[in-house]
Amino acid sequence: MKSILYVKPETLNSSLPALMAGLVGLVYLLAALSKLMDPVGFYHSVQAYRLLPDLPAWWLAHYLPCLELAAGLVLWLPGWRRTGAWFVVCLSMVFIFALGSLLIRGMDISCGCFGTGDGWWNSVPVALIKNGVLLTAAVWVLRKDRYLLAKHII
Amino acid sequence: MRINHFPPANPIYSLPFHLQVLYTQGMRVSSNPLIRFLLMGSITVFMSMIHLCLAGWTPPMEPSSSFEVTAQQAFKLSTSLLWVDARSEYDYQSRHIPGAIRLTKEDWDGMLAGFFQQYDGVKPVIVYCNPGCHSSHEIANRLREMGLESVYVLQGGYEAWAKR
Repeated sequence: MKSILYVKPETLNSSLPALMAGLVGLVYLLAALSKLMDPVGFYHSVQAYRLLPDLPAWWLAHYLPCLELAAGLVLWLPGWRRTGAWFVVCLSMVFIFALGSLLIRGMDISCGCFGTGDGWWNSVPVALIKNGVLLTAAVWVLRKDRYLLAKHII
Repeated sequence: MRINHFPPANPIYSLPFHLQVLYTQGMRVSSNPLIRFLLMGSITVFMSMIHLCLAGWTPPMEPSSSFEVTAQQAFKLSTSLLWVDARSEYDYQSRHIPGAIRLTKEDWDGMLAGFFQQYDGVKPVIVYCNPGCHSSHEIANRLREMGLESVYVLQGGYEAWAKR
């Protein structure tokens, strides 16, 4: 007799990408909300990267959280999961470039990823690892969805 | 034989029916990945424009910039001032300005006694954190509210001091 916890492999196979996309979406939603609640603080964080002049930094400080919010929400929609995953791939690559430039320039600043706090969660190495994990997860979702679409499972 | 009418023969269209049509037609129209990218891009630009309308199109002026000192100015006074580190315990343990004491908003009450043990009532106080953070301004404002007069914020945070 099968256990009540038994899940068919095909069900698991089609549910895992949704679960992973949901987790990545949740991280993006949290990051977006923390920035939207304190746009001035996030503007200071963008300024601290010293990659943009003041006015574009101010605009970016308003555009980026909206983009993260949209990507986070879209990852929860089954039909739009791949689009959301592509957005996460693009955003993660931009973030990794910006964080890498900080490391190369030897700047130890608060990354501003989750608000303006100075905790370890906002340190540059942790942010780099986090973005690497999110990028890997998004690529995995894209690959898995492609396989499932080809097999007409989803 | 059952014929599926579109729109349905029933003149009283239900809300779920409308929602279903909207969803299926929307999904069909936007099945092209490029259209989806453009759609999402347009929506996010629109959202950020609303956000900018509410917050203002230009960056705000720094309200407390008159209380900021540069690393060079601080270095000249470094023998006769009190440094306050508003960063995390981890950052403080990694490296800090010699003689700096920690004072954070998270553990304000617990650390305030330690601050007043070091503060003689005369020395200027300079608060710093990491570049881009707000903690130093918040701590400086709290100290000013308590009646301390010579409280400043280090421009550029710890990095500016390390690179002076």
